[in-house]
Amino acid sequence: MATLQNAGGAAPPNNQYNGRTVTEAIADETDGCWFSGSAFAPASLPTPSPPWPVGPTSEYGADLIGMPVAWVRYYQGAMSSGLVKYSGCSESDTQTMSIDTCGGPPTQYNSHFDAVSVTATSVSATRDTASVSGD
Amino acid sequence: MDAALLLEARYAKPVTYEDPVWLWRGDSYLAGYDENLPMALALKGRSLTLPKGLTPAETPTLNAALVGRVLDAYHSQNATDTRFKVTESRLGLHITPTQFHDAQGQLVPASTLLDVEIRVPEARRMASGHLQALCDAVTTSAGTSLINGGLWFDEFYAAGGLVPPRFATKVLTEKEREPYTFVWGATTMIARDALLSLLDSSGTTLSWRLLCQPSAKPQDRFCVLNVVPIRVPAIGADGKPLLDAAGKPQMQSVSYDRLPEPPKSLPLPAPDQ
Repeated sequence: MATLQNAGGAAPPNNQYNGRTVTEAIADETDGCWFSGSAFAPASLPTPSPPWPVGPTSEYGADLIGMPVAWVRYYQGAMSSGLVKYSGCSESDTQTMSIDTCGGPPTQYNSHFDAVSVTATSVSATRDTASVSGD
Repeated sequence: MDAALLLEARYAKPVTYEDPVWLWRGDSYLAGYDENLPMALALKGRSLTLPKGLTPAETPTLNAALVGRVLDAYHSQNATDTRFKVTESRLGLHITPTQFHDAQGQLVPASTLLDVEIRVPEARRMASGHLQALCDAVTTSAGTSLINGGLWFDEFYAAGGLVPPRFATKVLTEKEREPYTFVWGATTMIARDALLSLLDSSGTTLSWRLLCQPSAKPQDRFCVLNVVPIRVPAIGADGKPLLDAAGKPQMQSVSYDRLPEPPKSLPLPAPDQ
């Protein structure tokens, strides 16, 4: 579950953002794994997200990143078989977060670079400097 | 397939495309290391010079006759290749094969995995669960794997006007997923008709590409059912098309065009204190 933080990373007191909404917009989405002849269509996220309501402890949604398993396995198979000539690829985008301003227009408060990187034997998901990996 | 994409982008109307399960070795070439391994073959490229007049300014309506002109051009430029037809439904236009090469290279009547008869038990599931059940039913009926390639299907579908969090099946409990579920099933019918029925309630107009991976061994062949939004050129605030760094038009997905109001998201239950 994602939670809002105040500037500097401090946890906001309960109810500071309760009832407000957070929206995510995706830009510059690039599916670097896709190749001409791929059985998967190029990845495309819906944007903007619907407004996510913020709860009393500043939680606003399960804002996960990553790609579906079938997609990862397909490109891993293409690399293993030599169907594609690259040994690694990534799907990436820039995620811009905005919060409503009590009746005013939403204001942008953060932006992240997200990427999913795939090799024949591994996969990792990155948001800015944080990442998680597996196989 | 590229022609279907181009027409969709120009007219913002679904033009679906379906591959047959490729049987003839002559339709593909060895792209990988060993042709007896899975995913080592790639489909040979085909070329098409499009007929003139395929823009809304020149031909305002995209209909079966217009797509038929494109297919006629394709057949005349690729005389010995797979042949296709166009049909029309309540969703849009559908390009499907009529003739393809059998294992010996003879042109014979063609079908696709969406031509098989299936039954999907009626049940309450998320949209992606219904699509997965449809793919599983096709795999069982056809004996060739149909992989669900509907990336972000729940998010684009927005069942009941609600968009679930990504990976909802992993991060939400069954009870938390309930608002995003609905009852659907297919009594015995052609898989394509079942898919049309499933897409009837989608909040986004969705199209599909059924793309098949050739392979030397029949057990390694599979297809991916890509259920995707229509992609159209992005327009800037000044009314001009947005270009990417390479000077090509930026494309964007048409989302939630069937909803009477913008989609919503539900608050998550607060974590335990």
